[in-house]
Amino acid sequence: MSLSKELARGTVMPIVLSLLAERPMYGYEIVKTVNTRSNGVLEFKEGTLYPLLHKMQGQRLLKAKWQDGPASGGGKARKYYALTPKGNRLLDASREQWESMSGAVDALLMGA
Amino acid sequence: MAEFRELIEQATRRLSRDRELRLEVSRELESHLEASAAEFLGADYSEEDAHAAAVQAFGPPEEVAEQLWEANRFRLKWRARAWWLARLTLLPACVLATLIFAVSGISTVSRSSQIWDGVDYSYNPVMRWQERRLKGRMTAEQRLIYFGDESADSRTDRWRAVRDANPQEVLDQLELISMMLSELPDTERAPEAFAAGRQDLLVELERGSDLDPDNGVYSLITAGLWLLPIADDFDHNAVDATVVIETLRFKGGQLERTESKVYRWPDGADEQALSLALTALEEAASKPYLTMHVSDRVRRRLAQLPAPRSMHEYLGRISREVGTLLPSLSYFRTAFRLVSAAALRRAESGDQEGALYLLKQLDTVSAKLAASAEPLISLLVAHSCEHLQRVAEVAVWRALGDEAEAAEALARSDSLAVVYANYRQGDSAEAREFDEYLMQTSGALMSTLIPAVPGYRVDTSAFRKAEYATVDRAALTVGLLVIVVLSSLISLSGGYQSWRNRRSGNGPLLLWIGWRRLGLALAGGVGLPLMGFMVWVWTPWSGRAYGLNYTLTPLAAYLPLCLFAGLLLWLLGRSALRQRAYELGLSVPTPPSRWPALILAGLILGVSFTVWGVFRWSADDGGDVSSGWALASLIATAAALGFAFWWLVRELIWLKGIEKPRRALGRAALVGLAVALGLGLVLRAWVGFVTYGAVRTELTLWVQIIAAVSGVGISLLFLAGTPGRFKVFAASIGRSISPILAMSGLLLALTVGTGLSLRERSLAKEMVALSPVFFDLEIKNSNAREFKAYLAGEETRPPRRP
Repeated sequence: MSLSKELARGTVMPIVLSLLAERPMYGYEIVKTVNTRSNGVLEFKEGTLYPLLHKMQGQRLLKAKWQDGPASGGGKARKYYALTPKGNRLLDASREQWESMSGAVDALLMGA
Repeated sequence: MAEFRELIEQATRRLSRDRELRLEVSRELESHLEASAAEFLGADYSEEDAHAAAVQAFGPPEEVAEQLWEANRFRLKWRARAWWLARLTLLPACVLATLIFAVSGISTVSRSSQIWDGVDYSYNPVMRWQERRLKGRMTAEQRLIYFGDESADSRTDRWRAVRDANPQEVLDQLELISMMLSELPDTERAPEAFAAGRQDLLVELERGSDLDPDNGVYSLITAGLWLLPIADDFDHNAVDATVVIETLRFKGGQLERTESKVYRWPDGADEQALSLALTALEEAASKPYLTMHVSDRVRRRLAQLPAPRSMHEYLGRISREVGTLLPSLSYFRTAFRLVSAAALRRAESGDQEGALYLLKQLDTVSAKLAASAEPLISLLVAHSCEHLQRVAEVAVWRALGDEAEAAEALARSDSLAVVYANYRQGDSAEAREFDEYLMQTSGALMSTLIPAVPGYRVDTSAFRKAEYATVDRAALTVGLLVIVVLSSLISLSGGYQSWRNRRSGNGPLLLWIGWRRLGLALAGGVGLPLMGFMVWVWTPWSGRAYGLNYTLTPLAAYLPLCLFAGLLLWLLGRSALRQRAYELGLSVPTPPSRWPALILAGLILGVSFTVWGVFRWSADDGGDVSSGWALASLIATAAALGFAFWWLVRELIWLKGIEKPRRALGRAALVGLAVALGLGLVLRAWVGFVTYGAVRTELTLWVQIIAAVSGVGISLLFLAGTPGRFKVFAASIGRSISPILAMSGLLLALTVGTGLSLRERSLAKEMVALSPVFFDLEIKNSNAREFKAYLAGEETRPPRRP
């Protein structure tokens, strides 16, 4: 099952922030990690990730640095993204919002 | 890979305005697609299918292109603006900063020359501009007092206007009298004009005497004026024109008995003039003091000027002070010579009382002149007058036939010479040692301004520091000039290459290395060497405790500073640019070994220290450099220069990726040699035949040096033009290092330039605080103080005017 476009659009940014909070990653690595961890539910067109990363970089939520990748991947230079303090703050705020919203949605949809 | 290229092309096409950004995004997308394809390959896809699957997973390129443009829109805009701003402002700002420092440097040099040689710089546009700026900071009244009435036709009228504006001001009256005296026509060439000028002067002297009734100087000048035509007409060669007295004199650093001449009153000379002069002299002797108020006049004029803000403004004050008119002093001696002659005539006619009365008048006047002396020159004139009076006394007693009194008078004359000699030679070993110390530490300017008086105790450190600040400023100007020229040339070359490759799209890129790396390059290439230099300057080994008149070795530190800064800036800049080019996927060479650059840095420092040490050591040793050490220094410098050249060639070969370096080097050397020989011949012909009409051998060395340096430069340029594997990379490095260079120049101007300006301002204040009028210090702070007391007897100083 895949998510509707609207729902995916609203969740991609917090997901990227959350992944990069773990460690710096390059674009393809982010795509793969999202696909693996969501079992394909959150699968999105890979190319659209980059405009989002650039936009977040422009908003000072992410910083980027070119560095050589792991030797297993041929050691080629890749652009790694990492969270800035501003990105970290937004991630915390997004988590809080999501918790309160998911609780409310659970209550309404599941009748919990 | 063709499908990848097409997809990336489509996805990034809206970013084509910014070639560097598009390259970066393309590289990122390419890396993504390659990784994706590799994964499909790992899942047993064929290569073709793997690529197709990667493209499929990537999504529609049109949508990505739109989103990429949207996401980078703001970035594109500010990067474009920043580049244009950098293009339009960086280099012009650097040029402007260089010009500002050059203007200040030219003003300082011109003002110094004005002090030393009295050169008129009214033709110099920089000086005229500075003068206009100075006037702009003054009120109309201040301008009038300082410059006089600039619309007046003659110099006398210029100062008459000042006096007319302040009719009760004694100092303005004296300024006018001084100017009139200096413009007085010659008695022999224009006797009628002289008589008219004298009449005008007598009116002004009378007026001065009314304004300043306790001052006898007006009467003394009046006496001199009446006697001037007789003195000018005096025939030294006529028989019995003078009486010769053998007296002790201090000349050429030693006391010796030598001939002093006492004038005889010339037959037929104007008796009425003598009578008027004697009346004036009597009046002068009866007044409490005799002064031209030189210091007060200078002080009043300088007080009109705004506080100096730089070294050249301070020098402007000094040049005004040095140029102060002291013409009346010669009139004093004229009066003494001819009144002595009159006393001798009275003695020869047996009028002892009359003769001694005149001598007493002269003695009183010379003591009062000494008591009122403020500039050292006034004291020396008072000494000269006292000497004339004492020698005349010997002649008078001999004429009266009293040998005992004559011997006593001779002893008094000799004792004057002994006191003078003691004063001039320094009264103690300590004073002499201090003189030597002062000359070593005072700097070139002060060592010429310090009067030749022993025991002159003034803290001259501010002058020396200001001198170094000026030299630092000059070095900064030269450094900025080099940066501007280099940066412009590189920019032009980059612009030309971009234009040449405008269609192929292979022109050099303007690489943006990011703020962090730019900061690192500037901090390492500009900040670090400067900090090292400042630490060095503060150490006692830098030699800055000595003046530049004593040793020039402190200046030798500029060369290693510039070389070191240039080397560091290049290494850091090119490493950052290479990294950026690599990130963008340009074909770049592997980094060269660091050892040659490190050895070069070590050589620059090592050789500089060695050469500096040899010359510094020799300066302490009397300035003689032994030929062995000189040869060793020369060899070390030549070795360092040779290594630097080799390193430069190596860098060029690396940068361009020249495939057959030996062949390229051989060609470059041949071209360089041909240029050196050709240019040498042309220059020799031009210098020799066109300029002088013959071969001038003494110019040949310079011609050869110019030709050799040009040959080396051309061969390097030829090497730089040789094609290589990393053409775009090398051209991009050249194009991108230019703004870094310009930025380092601007940083230098803003930090060092501002720092130096502030330092000059504070030093100018310190120098003015030392004494608003330099004349004041000459007698007050030296052994001349005791000599003045000796000449003045018990006389008191004249009251100082506010």
